[in-house]
Formats: sequence, C-alpha cells, structure tokens
Amino acid sequence: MADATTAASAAASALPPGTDLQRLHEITADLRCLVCQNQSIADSHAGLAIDLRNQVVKLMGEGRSDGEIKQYMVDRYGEFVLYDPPFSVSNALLWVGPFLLVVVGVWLARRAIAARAAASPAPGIDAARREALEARYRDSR
Amino acid sequence: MRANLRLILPLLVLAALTVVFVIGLQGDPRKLPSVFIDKPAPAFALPELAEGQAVVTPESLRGKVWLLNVFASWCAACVTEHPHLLQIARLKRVELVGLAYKDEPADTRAWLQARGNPYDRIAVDREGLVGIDYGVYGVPETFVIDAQGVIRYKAVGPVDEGFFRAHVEPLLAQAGR
Amino acid sequence: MLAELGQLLVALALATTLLTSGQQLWALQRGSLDAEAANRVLGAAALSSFVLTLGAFVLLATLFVSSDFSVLNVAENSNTLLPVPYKFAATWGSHEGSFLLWNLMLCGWTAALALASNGLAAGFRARVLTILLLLQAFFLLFLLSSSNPFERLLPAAVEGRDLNPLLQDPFMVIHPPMLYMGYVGFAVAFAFAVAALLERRLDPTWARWSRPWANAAWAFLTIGILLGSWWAYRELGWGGWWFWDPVENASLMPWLAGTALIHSLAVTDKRDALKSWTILLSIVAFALSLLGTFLVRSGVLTSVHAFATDPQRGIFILSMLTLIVGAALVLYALRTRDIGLGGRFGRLSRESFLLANNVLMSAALGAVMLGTLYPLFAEVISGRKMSVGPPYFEAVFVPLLLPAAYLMAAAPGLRWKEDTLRTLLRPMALATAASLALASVWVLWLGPFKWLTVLGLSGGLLLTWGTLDHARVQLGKLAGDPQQPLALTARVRRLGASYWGMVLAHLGVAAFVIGVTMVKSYEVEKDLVMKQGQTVEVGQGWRLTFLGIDRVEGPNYVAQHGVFQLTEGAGQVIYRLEPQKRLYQAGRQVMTEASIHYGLLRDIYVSLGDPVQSRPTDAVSDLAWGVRVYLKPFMVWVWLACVMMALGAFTTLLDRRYRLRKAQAPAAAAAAVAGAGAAGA
Repeated sequence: MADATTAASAAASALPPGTDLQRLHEITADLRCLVCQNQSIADSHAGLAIDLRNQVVKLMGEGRSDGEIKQYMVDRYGEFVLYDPPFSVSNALLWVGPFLLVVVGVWLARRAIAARAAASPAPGIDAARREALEARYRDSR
Repeated sequence: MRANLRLILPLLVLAALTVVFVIGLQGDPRKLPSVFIDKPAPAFALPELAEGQAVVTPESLRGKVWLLNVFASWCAACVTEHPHLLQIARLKRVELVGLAYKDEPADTRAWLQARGNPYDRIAVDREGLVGIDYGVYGVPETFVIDAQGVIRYKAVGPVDEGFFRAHVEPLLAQAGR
Repeated sequence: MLAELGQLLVALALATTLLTSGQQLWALQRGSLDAEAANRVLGAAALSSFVLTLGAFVLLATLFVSSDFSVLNVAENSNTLLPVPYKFAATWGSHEGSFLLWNLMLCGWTAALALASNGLAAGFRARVLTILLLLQAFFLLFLLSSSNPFERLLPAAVEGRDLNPLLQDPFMVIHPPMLYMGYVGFAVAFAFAVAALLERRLDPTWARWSRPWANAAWAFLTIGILLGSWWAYRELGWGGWWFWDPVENASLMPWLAGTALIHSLAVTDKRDALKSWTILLSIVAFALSLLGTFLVRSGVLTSVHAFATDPQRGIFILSMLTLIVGAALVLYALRTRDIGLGGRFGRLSRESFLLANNVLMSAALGAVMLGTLYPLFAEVISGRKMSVGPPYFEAVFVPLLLPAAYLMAAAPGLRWKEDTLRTLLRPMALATAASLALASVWVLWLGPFKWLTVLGLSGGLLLTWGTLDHARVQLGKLAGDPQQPLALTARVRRLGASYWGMVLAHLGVAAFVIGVTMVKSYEVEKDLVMKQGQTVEVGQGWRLTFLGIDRVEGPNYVAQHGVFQLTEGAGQVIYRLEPQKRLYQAGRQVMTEASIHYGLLRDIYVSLGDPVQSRPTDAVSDLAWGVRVYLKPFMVWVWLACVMMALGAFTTLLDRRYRLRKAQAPAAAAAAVAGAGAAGA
C-alpha cells in the first residue's frame, strides 16, 4: 500500500515535459511559502507551496516573464509573498542602522579612552599588586 | 547627565522591545492581511456540487450581501466552524456560498451529509485555482462580499456568530435589511 | 506513576531553590549574611537541585523509551516505530521536554560552579550561587506551571504522533543540548556580574574567575550553531547552510555578544580595564540567550524552527525575561559607577584593538537584531507586513566582520596600554601587501578578478600569518640563554593553554573567513533533469552518472532511493552518492536526504527533486528525475573552522591559572600568578 502511495504521489507531482527547472527554481526561491515558517515555495513540501509551484509552471508555460509571475503572486497575496524585501524609503532605518551603530560605537570608545586618560593617573595593574589584591580578596568577607 | 543616559539606555531598549513584543504577541505572525479588501471579488465560474445545477459565479450574486466560505472535508477546523455556519444559515439573512477547496465532490457530499448543509450554493474548486485567485492560504477562510461585488472583509480561521454580528450585520444595515 | 514522580522531583527542586535563594537574599538584605554557613547551604542546595532535576529528566527519558503514551508529551512526540536512540532524543524534541533539559543544564552549571569555586571569596561566592539558584527557581516555576512535560493524556493514546522527521538525525539530536549548554552557560557570567554589582566592587580576580565559564559557554554555543547549520546543509536538500532565519539569528546574537564578552573579559583580567562594559556585556549575553528562548517558543516570529506557538506561554517567558534582565540592568544603572573606571590605555594598544573588536561585534549584533525584529516593528507600528531576508544580512554583516579579521591579525602583537604606530605598521604593512597579492593571484587563477573575494581571502591569509608569526615570536622570546635555549616543549608549556587556545581559535576564524569566501564566490549550482544512465559534467573534471531509483524501506519511512556514480578526472576515482526522498508514514511528511561527497577542496552535493515525465503518459518507472547538483568549494573549511574555534576555547580552560586549588598561602599564590603573568602578557 505504501508503495502505491509513494508512486502515486511521485507521478502526481511530476512536472510537464520541457519544464525549465533552473528558471523554476530561481522564481520559486524568491516566493515565500505562506503556510510554512520561513521557507520559499522552492523548498517547501506544503500543499499550498506545491499548488503555487504548479501555478508558476503553468504561467511559465503561458510565456509570462519572471516579473509578471511575481506580480501575479503579489496581486493575490501581497508584498509579503516576496521572500527578499525590496529596498524602499520606509526601510531606510534598517539599512542605515548598523553603520550608525559602528559610528556611535567608535565615538563612545574614543570618549571612553579619553575619559580614562584624564581621570585616572594610576596605571592598570601589575603582577605584584594583583597578587596582593588576590590574597586580600580571598581572606576578606 | 550624559553619563546617566548611557546607563539608562539598556533599560530603555529593553522597555521598547518588551512593548513591541507584547503587542506582537497579540497578533498571529502567520495571519496575512488580505489584499482584496475593498476590491472587487475576482471572477470565477465553477461547477455546482449538486449535479445539473447552473455554474456558480460572483456575478450571479450581485445585488445581495453574501459570504464565500472556503472549506474542505479534510479540514479539522471546519468541523469546529460548521455548527456556527448552520446557525448563521438559519438566520436566512445572507447568501452562504461554500467553496469546496481541493476536495473530491464525493468526499464533500459525504461530509455535508453527515453534518448538515448550511450552504445555499456550493462551488467545487478541485485544483484550488480559484482559491489562489482569492489569496486563500489556509482553511477555513470566509470572505464577506457586499451587494456591489466588493470584498469587505476576510476572516481567517473558523467564524462564529460574533463574526456575523461584527462584520456582516453592518453591511446588511447599509443595504437596508 | 513515573510521571507523577517526575513532577514531584521537579517540585522538590523548585522548593529547594526557592527557599534557599529566598533565605539568602533576605540575609543579604539585612546584612546578616554568614558567608561560610551560607556557602555550605548554597552548595548543598545546588547539588540537590541538580540531582532532583536529573532524576526528573531520567524519568521523562524512561517514559519516552518505553513509549508510555499515557503521558501527553510522549504521545505528541514519539512513536512505536521510532528507533530507540530517537525515542531517547524525543525527550527534548518538544518545548516542554527541551525546557526540562534547559533547567537540568542550569542546575548542572550551578552545581559545577559550587564544586569548583572553593577558592572564591566567601561573600562573593554566596552571592553568585544565590543568584543562580534564584534563576533556577524562576525557570523551574515556569516549567511546572506552564510547560509541564509530565502531563497525562487520559485515556492513553494507542500510538504517538511521531518525532518530527526533521529531528530524526544523529547530529540534530545533539544540537539542542549543545545550544542550551551555551545559553545556560552564560547565566554563570551573568551571575558573576550581578554579584559584583551587589558587592559594589570588581576586583581583577573577578574576571579571572569569569573567563573559563564564559569561554566554555561560548565553545558549546559555537558547537550548537555548527551542528544546526551542518544539519541544514545535509537535510534541506539544496545546499544552503545559513538562512538568517529568525531562530538562527536568535542563536547568533548571544554568540556575537559572547565573542565580545570573552575578549572584554581578557582586558578586564589582564589590565583591570573596561570593567563596566564587561559587566554590561555579561548581562546582555545572558539576556540574548533568554531572548532567543522567547523568540523560539512564543510564536511572535515565523520560523522553520519555532516550536508550537502559544502566545500565553510567550507572555510568561517575556515577563521572566523582562524581570530578570530589567532587575540586572537597574542594578547596573545604579551601581556601576561604584565599580570605577579602571586602567587607562592609549588609542593604539592591545586594549583599544580588543575594544574595536567589541565595537564591531556589538554593531554586528545590533544589525542582526535590527534585521530580525524589523518586520515585527513595522507591523506593530504601521500594520504592514514585510520580510527581511538574506540579502540584507549579508550586505550588512560582511563589511562589519571582515575588518575584524584584519584587526585580529595585528592585535596579539600590540603591547598592552600603549604602543606606537611604527611597531604596528612595520610587520603588518608588508604582511598585508603580501596577503593581498597572494589572494589576487589565487583569485585570478580561478577566474576573473573579484574585489570582495580578494579582500576575504587576504583577510584569512593575513590572520593566519599574524597568529602564527606571533606564536613564533613568543616562542623565540622564551628561548633564554642562546647557548642553551630552553626546549621547545617547555616553551610551549610556558606560554600556557590560554595562549594556545587563542591561537587555535583565531586560526579557526581565519579558516572560516577563507571557507565562506570561497564557497560564496565559487559555488556552482545545477538544476537538471536526468534519465537513467545519463551522465553530466559537474565542473572541474567531475562527472555524475544517474544509475537509477530504488525503493527502500526504513524503520518508519519509505524512500525513493537514488543511486549516482561520481567520477573524477579520467574516470579514475569512483564514489557512490545515494540521495533519498523519504515519506515518513506517521506524519505523512516528505524529507530530502542529500548525498554529499566531502572533500577538503570541494564538496559535491546531490539531492533529488521531483520526478519529471518525458511524455505525459509515462509510467512511473520511466520517469526522469529533477536532480540538484552543487559544487561547493572549501565548504568543509567552514565546519572545521567552527570546530577549531570551539576546541580553542575549550583549550583555554586547561590553563594552569584555572586549576582547582584550595585557598593557598599568599606566597604560593604569588608565585603562580607571577609565572602566569609573565607567560600570558
């Protein structure tokens, strides 16, 4: 029984002859599987993913371009179906953020170094002082 | 003062994150807002489940408020929803159209036989293609369509009388029923 | 019976930790802490809670292995057909079970600390253990009240639902335990930091104590992430190994914080500097571990990894996170000034380079957090749903971390406190030019010139050279009398495990940079349709022949088993590659098992796609198959690099400074410290 099932599912998911697998993979890798958690429809085995994949195959067969196929999906499922987000003004913070962090970090670091130079004339710690501290620390409360 | 800000900053970040997470937890990250709100219901022509009946189209339902309920015999949550649909059907205030999504007609008939049939009409969408046209990504889903054929609301998951009161009644009131 | 007993043990552990930590906190508040007595009680409590939690865990495992489906967790995550090792692994295959494992590890780390910390000052030790026991109480309470793995299912199920096939893999099984060892390990550093804040002081010895625990936690976390990534590579069927998925990012964030922490601790240890920053990092690293837990278990983000989502559970975890981290940060804000500024250092010094590492790690951490949480922010603030994918992370991450590799090459050679530009530039300028030249030759030999590839490779080469050259110089310095130089083995030992651990870990980073650069720049992907008997050229002289499809039955699955033959060059070397497409009966899930020929210079990777009919009326046996073939250069370097990093961190634990010893006479301690000081400087 299991044999028939796998065979049937194998045949059922068989793609029509002459399908351009490379292009299919490229397009479906850019479309999100909506019922899965963070997968593209290229890799998901969910029912809807397979349906959408078949729909892409059909659209490819009709001669639609990559852009048209993606727009088809966006028309029905919204921007979210695109797996990689587009650049846009509202995403500006996202792109600028990390570099802002570096700038702020460097600025803070320089200030910290300067503050230390101004504040403490005492040097860091050397071996003898450390040993004395350690001994005292161990014996203290 | 500047030093104080640096000390408080981690706490501020934590507070902001907490607020966002609390709000985020209220929603369901898997729920997708429909792109069809306030847009015309996509056209289709599907066979009716009962044999020998006319084809089901949104056109034929112009002039009245109607619900398109996406369901299937293999869907567990639909079982939860079903009694509520029967209740809504009994009110006889809206046309209830079922979309048998990716289901064999024989299975759909058997399922309705066992549980009762709340639908005025049932469209058979064996391949799920109309579902894709409507942006269906799970079952059950329910679309509220007004008399002009415009989709006004989409419910994801089982619906009940509360849904009817909140999203259908206002439309009926507008239409004067 | 066993299930109820398990619950009882957890309840007892909760009672122990709650009462003990409560009592000690009360005594601390009132200032009446008797350190010696407290330590005895705390040590006993730590050991008891560990034994009790271990007992509960063993009981849960027994329930799984014996397939007791009257327990809800077993029924939902196991199956009679499941092979026994996976039944055992299913113990932590769900939220409840894995959370029990989390608790077990927290108790384990605490018990280990209790046993190993006799040399720690009594008052400080008492505070650290109290904090850890308090954390345990929190988590055990959460476990019992909302994530009880021992809940009954009555009437008992006849058959279980099965362990997720994604988890039925030997390495996937150890992936969660390793991750948790890492996450939970940072709790120790956290406790050290909070204890120091409570005491209002931070001695140099504080960092020396913290370091091995932080290093160990970081090593475990590295292995955990490595295992997850390697599993994805083998199981997901299309050669990817890192997807910037929210839950992957959730483990990367504490790793980045941990990396910053272990370097910051080095500065605080050696130079008594950056004290306040190190304390903050200790808190942040653990906070991010908790955040990771929250993200995975609450369902607030979509991810392949997320456990079954439960918003109520999410609120609970979030409140715990806010309480614990909030309290620590409040304490930080109030008391960090008492700790003092610490030693000064010049703009060009080892400290400043380590600080630069910290800045880059923190920025990278911020970038990952921003990218992961941005969709959530966008949705909460403006209601629109968008997604942030790999292109963002890669575009941002690489420019932040590649400079780190270059800085790492120079850092060990810099003196503490103050160094000059000349001493930095002289060796480095030549080496950098040489690395760039070598990398350019390498790239040109492989194809067209690519700037990013050259920069990546040269960074890896420079780091390798810098690390090894520094070791050479250090060994040379220890030679002593030129007429009778000290033996090499003795010199190696003098430098200490801490030093060699660093060398190994940094070489690991270099290997990682080179590996990733090569894979990303030169990987080849082919999506083909192959009929039986067909041969394709894969590239670089490799050929793949499709021999056919068999049907194979596994213990709990049925598979389409592809057989391929891989030949190299003139048909000399032959390998067999056998990818599968499995259908797991219980859950009707389909899994792809790729077949990989590993190699130091390249991996050849084959996975089965979908069958393709050459004519619409083809019978199943005549089907051609979609096949994905990947050529992945230097992929193995990425895995080996992570192993090197983890091993390096573990090696540092062997350093004689951390050897367990009872409180010694000051003279002996001074001698030990002086010896370590000379070697480690």
